[in-house]
Amino acid sequence: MNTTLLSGTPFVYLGAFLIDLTGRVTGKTALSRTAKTVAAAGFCLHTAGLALRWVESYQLGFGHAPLSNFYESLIFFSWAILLAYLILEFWKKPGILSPFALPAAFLLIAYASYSPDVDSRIRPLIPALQSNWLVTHVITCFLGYGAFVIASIFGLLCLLKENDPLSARDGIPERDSLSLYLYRSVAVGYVFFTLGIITGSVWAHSAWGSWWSWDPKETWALITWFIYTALLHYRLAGKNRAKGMAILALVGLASVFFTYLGVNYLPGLHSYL
Amino acid sequence: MSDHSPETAASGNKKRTLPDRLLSSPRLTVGLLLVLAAASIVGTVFPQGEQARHFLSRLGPGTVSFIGLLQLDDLFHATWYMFLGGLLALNLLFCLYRRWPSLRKTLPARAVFSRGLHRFVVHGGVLIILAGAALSHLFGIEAYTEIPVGEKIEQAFLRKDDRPLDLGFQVRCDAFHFERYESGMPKEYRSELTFFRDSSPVHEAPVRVNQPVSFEGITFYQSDFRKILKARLAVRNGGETREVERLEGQAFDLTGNGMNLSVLVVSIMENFMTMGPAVKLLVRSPEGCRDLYVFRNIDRFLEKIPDLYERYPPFDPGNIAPWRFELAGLEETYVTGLMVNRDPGAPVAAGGAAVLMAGMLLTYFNRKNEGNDRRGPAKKNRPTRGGGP
Repeated sequence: MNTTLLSGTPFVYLGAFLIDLTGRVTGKTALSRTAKTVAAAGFCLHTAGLALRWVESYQLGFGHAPLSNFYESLIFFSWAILLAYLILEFWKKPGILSPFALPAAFLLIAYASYSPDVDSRIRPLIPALQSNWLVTHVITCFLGYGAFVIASIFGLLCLLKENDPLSARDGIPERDSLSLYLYRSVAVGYVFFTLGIITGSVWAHSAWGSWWSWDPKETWALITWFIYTALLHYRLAGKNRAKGMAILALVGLASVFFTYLGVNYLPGLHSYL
Repeated sequence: MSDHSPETAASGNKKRTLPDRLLSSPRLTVGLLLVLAAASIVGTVFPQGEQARHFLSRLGPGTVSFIGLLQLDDLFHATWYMFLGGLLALNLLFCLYRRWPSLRKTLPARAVFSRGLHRFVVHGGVLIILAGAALSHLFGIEAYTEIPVGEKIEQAFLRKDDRPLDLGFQVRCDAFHFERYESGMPKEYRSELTFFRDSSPVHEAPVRVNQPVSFEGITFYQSDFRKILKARLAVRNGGETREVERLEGQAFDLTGNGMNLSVLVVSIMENFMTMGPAVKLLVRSPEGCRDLYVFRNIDRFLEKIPDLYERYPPFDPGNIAPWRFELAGLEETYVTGLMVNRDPGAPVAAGGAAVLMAGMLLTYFNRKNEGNDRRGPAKKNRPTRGGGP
């Protein structure tokens, strides 16, 4: 049942994306607002699917939060992107995230739901995952990732605006606003991601006996943390700050994805595959 | 350092020495962070530790000495990597030092927030974590031990060089449980341990994955397990029969008829040379050492090869007269693998992490931190240009 809800969700996101795109192409801004509402409805469905999956795991007799395998992490990553997108679009209204955030969330949840390589069954927890730290570690990391995805969208737009920093005629906010949005998104994501590393470290201490063991996933999380730390300090150091921060936001996102997926191809303790 | 930097604005001190200017530069911070990131990538791609030894054996001597010079095979403990980390810590200390006078003036007024109290707390937290890491590195112990069920150990082996470590107490593994879900996935690994001081039991506790147990400052973690075979041997001497149960590598003594033998179980095999269960023993007597193979079903082979004992005397269970060996059976049992650690840095690092998080939360009380420090708080709906130059 939960997979039915969750596999319907990508279509809602795709629909919202198409509505937004139609609005932008035809110049009807009302459609972009409709798209946001549709996306919010999809998010409710997404959340209901996650909640149901949690309940169903208890009915199967080994209840645990739906954050324990590759399928569930993809679903939650997509959820975190939508959460960050909706908060920002309904609160600060930059009005430019839909064409990027919606397809990103769509791709992640569609891949989870429809790829034959991703097992969507609810499985009991193996001993290594039987820890109270699982939930906080995964939630904080992915909330961080979600905010970093949003930051990279602002980074991309910043670079697009490089030659025309002040004009807002194309519907994209001026470069300095983008840069500030970028900084704030990273600042929020950074708090969550740092907390994610800390909770992971506490967990590693009780599971593996070492709070830092240079496992590839740990190391890549640290690399990602270095990059975002550099970004946050770049504000004090750089000459062309907007451009530098934008580039670092994109490099940071690449590092996030490598931390999430790439390390499966390196030997280590953290593998999903 | 740029003149726009808040550092200069805050300290208002123009007569700064070059090392001071360099070391408190945020450009150094950004540069070091990015260099550390790049170096760490090398560390995840290049094989480290045990795997590196394997990898290096296939390379030429020139390449190997180059790798050795840069310590690429143990990059995260390489001098230059730690030096970069230390430089970052120094950079951080200098930045805090430069900001201290302006913060002190405002203590304890509310303005401390706008003067960057949160920065002190955040960066102080990072420094405490680094101190914890140094403590763990310098005074921590990482060791490993294996205990067969029913056996007692008093040593562990250091992970970095396999040197034995005397625990100062004994640990016995009373039982090992490996439970599965209905689907066959592993559900629980659990070792029941008893700790002994001066040979008397003082503490009993189960160790599970994610649930370590500490005793006298040393913590035991469920890390691994494997199945091993235990041999049940019956040794007859005339009308007398002695039963012994031994694991590979264990020995027992035999006395009688004025002789003193020591019998070592060299290996226990489920199916030796397609002849079924067998045990290889090494029997040491004053005359010398002799191998003896004891089979579970020797009669079957005698039917096929009646002169087996003449052709292969070590297969003759009566070869060590007057004793006659029989293999009564093999039993599967477990060996539990435990990490044995002491980490004085962990509580320090945990404290640092708490301070770091507290500092990050303080940041949210400091509206001025949004946008640019010099231009005041961001206005609603129209972000300041502070994010830019």
